[in-house]
Amino acid sequence: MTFFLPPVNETALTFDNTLNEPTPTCMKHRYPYYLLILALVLNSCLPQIDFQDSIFLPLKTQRFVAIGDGYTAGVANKGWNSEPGAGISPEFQRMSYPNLLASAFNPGGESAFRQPLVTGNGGYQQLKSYYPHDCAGVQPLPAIEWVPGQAGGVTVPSLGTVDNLGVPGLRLSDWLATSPPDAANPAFFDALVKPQTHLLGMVSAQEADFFSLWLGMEDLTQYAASGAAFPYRQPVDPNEFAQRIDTLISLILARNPGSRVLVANLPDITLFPYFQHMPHLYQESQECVRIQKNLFIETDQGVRIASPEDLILLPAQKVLGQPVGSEMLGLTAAHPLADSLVLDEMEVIEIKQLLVAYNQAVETVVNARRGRAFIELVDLNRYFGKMANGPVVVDGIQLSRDYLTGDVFSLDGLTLAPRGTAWMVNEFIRAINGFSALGARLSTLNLSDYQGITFP
Amino acid sequence: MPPCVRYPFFSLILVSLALGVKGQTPVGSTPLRQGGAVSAGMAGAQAGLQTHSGNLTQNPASMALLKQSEVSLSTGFLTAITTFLAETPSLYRDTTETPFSSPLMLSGILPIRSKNRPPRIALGLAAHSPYWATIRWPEGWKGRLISEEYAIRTLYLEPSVSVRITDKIAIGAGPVLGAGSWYDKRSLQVSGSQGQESFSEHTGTGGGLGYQIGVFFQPEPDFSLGCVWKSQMNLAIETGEARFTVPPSLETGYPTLGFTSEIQLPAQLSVGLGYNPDPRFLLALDLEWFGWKSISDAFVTYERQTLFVRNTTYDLNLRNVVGFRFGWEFRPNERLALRTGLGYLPTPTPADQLSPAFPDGNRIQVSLGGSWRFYRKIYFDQALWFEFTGERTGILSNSGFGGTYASTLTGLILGFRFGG
Repeated sequence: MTFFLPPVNETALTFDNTLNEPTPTCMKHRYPYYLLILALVLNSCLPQIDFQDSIFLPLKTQRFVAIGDGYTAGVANKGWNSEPGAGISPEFQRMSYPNLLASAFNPGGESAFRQPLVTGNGGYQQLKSYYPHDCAGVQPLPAIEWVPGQAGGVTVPSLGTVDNLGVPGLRLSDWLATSPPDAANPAFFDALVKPQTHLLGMVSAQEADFFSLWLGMEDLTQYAASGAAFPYRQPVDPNEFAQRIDTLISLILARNPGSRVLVANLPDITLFPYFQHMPHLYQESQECVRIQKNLFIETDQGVRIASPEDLILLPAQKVLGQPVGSEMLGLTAAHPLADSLVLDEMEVIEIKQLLVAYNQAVETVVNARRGRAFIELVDLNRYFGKMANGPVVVDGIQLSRDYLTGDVFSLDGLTLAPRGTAWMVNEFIRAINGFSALGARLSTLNLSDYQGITFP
Repeated sequence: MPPCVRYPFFSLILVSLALGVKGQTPVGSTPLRQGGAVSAGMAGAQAGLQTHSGNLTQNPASMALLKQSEVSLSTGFLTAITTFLAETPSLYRDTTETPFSSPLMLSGILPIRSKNRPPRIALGLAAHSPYWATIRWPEGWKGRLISEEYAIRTLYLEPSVSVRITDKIAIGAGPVLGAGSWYDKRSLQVSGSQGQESFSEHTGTGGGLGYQIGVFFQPEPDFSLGCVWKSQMNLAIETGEARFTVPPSLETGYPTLGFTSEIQLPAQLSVGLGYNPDPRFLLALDLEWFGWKSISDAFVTYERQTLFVRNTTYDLNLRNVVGFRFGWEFRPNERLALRTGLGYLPTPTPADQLSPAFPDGNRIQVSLGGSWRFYRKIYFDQALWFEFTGERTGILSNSGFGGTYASTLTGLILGFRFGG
């Protein structure tokens, strides 16, 4: 408790005026003075906290550039038959991680971070209704609607220099592509990449003093989200991945010596609700009684009954149990779930091995430069891993990998909701605060100011 | 009464109001001392005194040694302020709003006379609010999912009888009829597609029965001792109501529900000492023990559970505490009394259970007061109460909400006494 003198304000002046009133009889005893001073001291003892260690120290940067894919661009609710423009809208872009991060540089003020805000939207998922059963333990029934985008997809206006260089759908595999790869959004590719020929050229052309780099998510998710069933979506080889990340960072540092670089690694995507929400058994509830049946899946080794190690993908919920002649899809060996809707046990292992290799590569690249350059790792793999065994509770908010109610992931179960993005950005802020070369002390974002899934 | 003697009290009132001194509510979970304005002026030290009817709220035994009937009535203008600084790396800070509260205290003593002998038995009735707290955080504040507004109000009605065993010893006892209300408002995690926030409100009132028993010993005219046991009070809320404001699609999962709960208030053992070194001076010292540990958990049991609304049981993990109060009174003449006091109450709340609804900490209490007999047997009593907790850092472990709190509580307590 710190006692302090009260500031001079109107109240105090009024108080002084009272003092100056003539009170000749009592002045003799000076009671009023003592009592007034005492009252003043008592009232001045408002609660005080020593804020010395909590003073905002700004991040002094001329230009902050974020390089990445759709996770950097702010793609959300992109659906399960996603087209290259799906899940892109100005509303989602404003909730992109680099934009939220930049808002922490100057809280309450105007952000200098420039984004390629699109016109129109590329279509997105929307929760239209939600019927919670009135019996505990039975999953609610969401009705998710696809809101179509404008014909021809989104348009990226010509805005000059932009700082968010997240290109939806762009994989590190495509780093030398000179035309939009099949999964990449052509409007973004044409606006951001093409003027510099390819991704490599785009990165090497940037002049800034602060960078964040998060690549590889699209490589993994595009492959895994389609059940690892399409060889053409095979992610880049781990050695190639390491070499390409190393090259990109070298180009950044060569062009911008002395710049600060944050490099994020990759969270375990197999823990995302897209892969975790559906059980390996077919479930239905009748009058609050849950009934479970074996599920048949198609794998590279043939049709078999799903095991707990197999991951049934979220889009399977649209077709599972649908009538196929006299049978129900997924419930007989004759009509199993398609390979593209299942990440079987072997494929899960393959994805996890790739993930470990990618993250080792990122860590190696960062460690090799520590001490010689201002570079730091943002360990998203560890951070998201906190949710592996249950919810993470922050400010009373339960963050989990639960679909719809976990508040981290958007309706597609694969990209982040604004609250999940803000939660992730807080790890970037911790990395910045711990990055002594930056000399900054930023405040983490209040997660309660950002929405998770919104309900109609 | 010359005007200069009268003036200090009125000037104190006026100054207090001008500067926003509004009253006394408990900052957290330790009790409000509502022995009236006289007791408040001595920081609540009164278990070993028999000076006036306000002692009744703390020790029912002392009244048998009072020779005159007396009635006292007090009220307070109370407010508490808490400042919060979030744990790093958040630099968030905020301050509570300052709602007023004005609990009442009423007590009366009626000695039963028989012929010309001094009364051996006295009847007493006290009504007071031992726990009374309102804490309201600003709309949209960081911890709104844990608490936006929390209010607990209690009223004890204490009829008692005191018997003078000898000229020096008296005992007293009586039932304690408790009533209380509880209000809790907090935001919910779900939000609407138009950006609207959801929130829950729980309201409930309850009643309970306890008892108190005390002994008062006055071996010398200038020295007295008192000891009181007040039982734990459980105010059962049988007809609470939980209302939820959520997006329409979730309304079936968040219906308005009845619930049961309990406001649990701890047992209390007080040992007090009174000493008159001089007819003009009175010193009082109380030691108090509070049995918070036996309040094992807080619970809310709904009339039925839904997918989203589940019964809660929460281990409070409180600890028993011992505090003290020291009071001093100076009577320069027969019409005037001046008082001051100092109290210290450790918090029963461990650092890993620190909630913005109860931002409790070790409290230091300072008081200043006085009485003025302005007409025959009519007294005007007043007290200024100031209470603060230093910085307290902790976390509400099940919610991941942590930070540093500091609180102050200020109060102006005014009362009249008739008789004595």
